[in-house]
Amino acid sequence: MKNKWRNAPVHIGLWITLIILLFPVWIMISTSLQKYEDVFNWPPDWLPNKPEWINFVNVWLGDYSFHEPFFNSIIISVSTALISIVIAFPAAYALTRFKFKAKNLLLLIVLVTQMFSPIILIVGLFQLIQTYNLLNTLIGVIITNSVFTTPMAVWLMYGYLQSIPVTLEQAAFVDGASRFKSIIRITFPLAAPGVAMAGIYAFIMSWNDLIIPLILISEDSLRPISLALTDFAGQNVVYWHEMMAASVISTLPVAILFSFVQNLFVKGFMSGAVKE
Amino acid sequence: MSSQIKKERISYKLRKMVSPERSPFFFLLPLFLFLVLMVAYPIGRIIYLSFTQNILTRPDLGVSFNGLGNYTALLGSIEFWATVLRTVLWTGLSVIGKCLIAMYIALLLAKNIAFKRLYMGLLLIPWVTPMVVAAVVWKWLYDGQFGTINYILLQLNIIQEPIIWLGNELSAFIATAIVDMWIGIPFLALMLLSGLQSVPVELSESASIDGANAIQRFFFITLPTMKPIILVATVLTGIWTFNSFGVIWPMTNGGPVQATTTLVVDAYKRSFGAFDMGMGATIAIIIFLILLGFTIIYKRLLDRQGEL
Repeated sequence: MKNKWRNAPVHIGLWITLIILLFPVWIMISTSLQKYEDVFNWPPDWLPNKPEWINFVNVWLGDYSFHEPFFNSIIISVSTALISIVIAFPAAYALTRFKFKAKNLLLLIVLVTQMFSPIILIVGLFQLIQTYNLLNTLIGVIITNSVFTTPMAVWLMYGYLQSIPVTLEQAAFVDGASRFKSIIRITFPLAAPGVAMAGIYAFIMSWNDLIIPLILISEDSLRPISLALTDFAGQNVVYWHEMMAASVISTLPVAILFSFVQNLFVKGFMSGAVKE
Repeated sequence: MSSQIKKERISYKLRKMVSPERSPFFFLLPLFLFLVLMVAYPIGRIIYLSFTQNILTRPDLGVSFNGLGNYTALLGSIEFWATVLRTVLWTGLSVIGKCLIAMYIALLLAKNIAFKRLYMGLLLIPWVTPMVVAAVVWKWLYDGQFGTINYILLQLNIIQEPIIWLGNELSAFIATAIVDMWIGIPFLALMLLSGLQSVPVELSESASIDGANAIQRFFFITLPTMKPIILVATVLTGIWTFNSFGVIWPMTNGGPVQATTTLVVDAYKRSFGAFDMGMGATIAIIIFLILLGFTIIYKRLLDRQGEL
């Protein structure tokens, strides 16, 4: 009996901390289910007894037409993830399967790039992007996002490929397989969880980024969610119930994807591969 | 005859150099090209821009070489140093807050308790929330008229009338730092937790037998043992906090006045608010040098930890 209650203070401490920490999330959800008039009620409706699901429909199709930024964000994030994997996987393969002189230097460059604030490069890239008419295009945002997600993908997959023993591949070489064949048949399938993790990370990072679309996109119909939310929240009249519905919608894809990689992530984050 | 052999040898060597069977050349080529075009070029470009006067909204002035003019102007201006100081204070406030709260959570989670996975899952929710979403939700919480924070503080009689949290310089400064903490705490807590779990139980047990109490064990056993991880986690958190933009911009646009204008916000405002590309690039260079320094420290710490 004593053992069972010994940890009670720890549980209580954790519950109090988590309640405070998750309070904003609770307010987001409860406000998203209220009528506009009720949003300004004091005391606040902590638990709306008649949830207004219609808010989600209204924000999706109504004045905010949130489906537009949502799909822009999907296009941007999926493309960024694919580009990052295509560039980063071969590089991570080379870094773990070959010996060459510049290896440490390359790893350092990859690490430094990952730490950059996008503002540094975008000031330099802006005129290049302008020259090639990529302002106000999703492609411009995708390419610029990839600059930051690719190094991170290299770093993540480098860590993962290192943990896969090379003996299987060597056996394939002995059997006369070419390198490409061994990569396609053996290395890539074995590395699939690592590749998925890198891809999902690239997706989440570009989903979250604000500064790149803020600089490159001025056309309303091309805004991703981060920019659209920023614009809506800066308007004179903010419909908070619909804003919170939009916030819930924006969080869901990331939360779902994240739950897939949570375990891998917890193992992998100590290598410093993950970006906030 | 011999020249043909030479040719063949060269071509053989060349083939060997680029053959995917033997060399990493083809595997690294895409990344290399990408880094040259998208990283090396823009850095070269901001170095060049930082030496020019280039205001896009004033084409009449043209683009002229300015030497160190931007740098002397910047380093000689009080506003710039105020921004540096503000950045240091804001980053410091947020990092210290994150470290203390994350350490508290990590210590609780390090105990062998039930529902640990549930707690860790719930803990990660703020971190998974997209930064802009967090900023928007908190903007609503901080709302000067109907915000929940005002309501709670009024009910508790801590304040007498609603406060416009984001409209006042000091409160906006602290309010944005709190949101940044909120996002960063979960990740740091997990990092510190993995550090705590690497502290051998025997060490702490033997200290306990020798009569050390919990607080002594924490300061003399746990903290020194996990020092490498704390350093790595703090430097990494410091870099991320320093780079923070997605929190500040949607909440305050760097205001009121300049109260939440950190270096990154300042670089954005000068380059794309005032379209002063030369000055913006100069600040970008300064940010670049600061981050380079921090990353090198980070890499050193990481390598040292690998050796242990």
